[in-house]
Amino acid sequence: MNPRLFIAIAVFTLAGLFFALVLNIFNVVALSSISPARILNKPAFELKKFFTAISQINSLRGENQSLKKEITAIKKDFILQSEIIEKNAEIKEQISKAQNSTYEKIIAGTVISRSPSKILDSVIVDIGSKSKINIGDIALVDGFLVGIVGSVTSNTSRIDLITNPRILLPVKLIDSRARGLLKGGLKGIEITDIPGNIQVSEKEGVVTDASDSKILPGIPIGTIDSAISAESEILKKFLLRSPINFSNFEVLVIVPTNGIPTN
Amino acid sequence: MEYQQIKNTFWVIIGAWLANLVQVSVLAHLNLFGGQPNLIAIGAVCFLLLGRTNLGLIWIYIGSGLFDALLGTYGITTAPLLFAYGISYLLLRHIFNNLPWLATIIIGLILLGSSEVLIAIKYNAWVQYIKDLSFGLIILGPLTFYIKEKSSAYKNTINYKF
Repeated sequence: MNPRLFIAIAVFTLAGLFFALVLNIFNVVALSSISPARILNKPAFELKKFFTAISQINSLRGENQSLKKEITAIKKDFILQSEIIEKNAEIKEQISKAQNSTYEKIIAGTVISRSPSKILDSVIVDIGSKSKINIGDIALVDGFLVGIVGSVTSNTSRIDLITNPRILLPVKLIDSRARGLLKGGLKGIEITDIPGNIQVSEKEGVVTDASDSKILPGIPIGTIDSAISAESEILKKFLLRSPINFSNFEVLVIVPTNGIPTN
Repeated sequence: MEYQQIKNTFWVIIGAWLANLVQVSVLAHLNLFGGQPNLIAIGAVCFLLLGRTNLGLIWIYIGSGLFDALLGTYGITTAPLLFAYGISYLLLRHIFNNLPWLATIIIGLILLGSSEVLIAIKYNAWVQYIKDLSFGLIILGPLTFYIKEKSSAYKNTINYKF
């Protein structure tokens, strides 16, 4: 080997080692000198986050609003679904109760509005002549009579509730077999014209009477609550208690006039 | 008929329809004091106090007509309400000078009371009638006060003496 080449390689190697050492020292010094920066780093990072957040507020606000809208839409859907499930359950219940009452044909309807006047109590339902509803058909809730169809359009019907003073129905008391008239009114539903010689007991059941051919016989209405006439009167009056809350029901079933009980 | 009149008439018809919607939904369920006052009568009071008599007539014809149709008896509220509207108009024009607040309440009660008076007579439903008037009065009180403060329609009318 040429001694001059050997010397050159040795010199370059030593020089490389020297620079590597120097650079490493620099590196160590640099790294060591930077370590106090950690004291400032955290607040700086927080500050950066703060300014980033400020710069992102606009976009975040937009995002928040769109998320809010999404949540509202989901909530609305959820409520609608719950409402539909509730309505379906209620309709099914009404239909099954009416089917137990053995009517040939029944149509379920939902109450869409109520009477504009408390005195003439009625409800408007979402079924009409298209569903073969006729004036004089009866409306039931939980199998009890609540009203009679007063007027019909193609898609809606007005049902005069039995609390309406316009309603006058022949009724029969189950135990005493007495016949009388049901009259609606604000004081409550009254059973009038019961002969004075007939003993009527409280809680006695009241059903519709066949003497009026328009109304189906034997439909439960309620029970006798209390007497409101004096003992001496020839024709007695009683208050009727219906198990139905007339201001609360949302679904009812209508029995068309041809839906005569099968048993 | 001018464009503005047609526009006003249109909005009055829409308003009368909306009032009926509120009547059969919100008011039917609200049951304050067990009453359900006639919104058409209350609206008629507003038109009268604001001096928009012609629009008030349209309001009554449409709103009360719809009201009667829903009750199934045509004219049972429209006829007495129209009559009371006429009487109230005369009272406002010729008797109540400067329109004191109490007078507006009296006018309101006349209109509100007239709207259901035939039903109350026919079905002997005076208790409910009073309840409806009580609820109506709660709405009428602040409403007429506000309108009275805002309106100057009857401030310079002649005060007749009987």
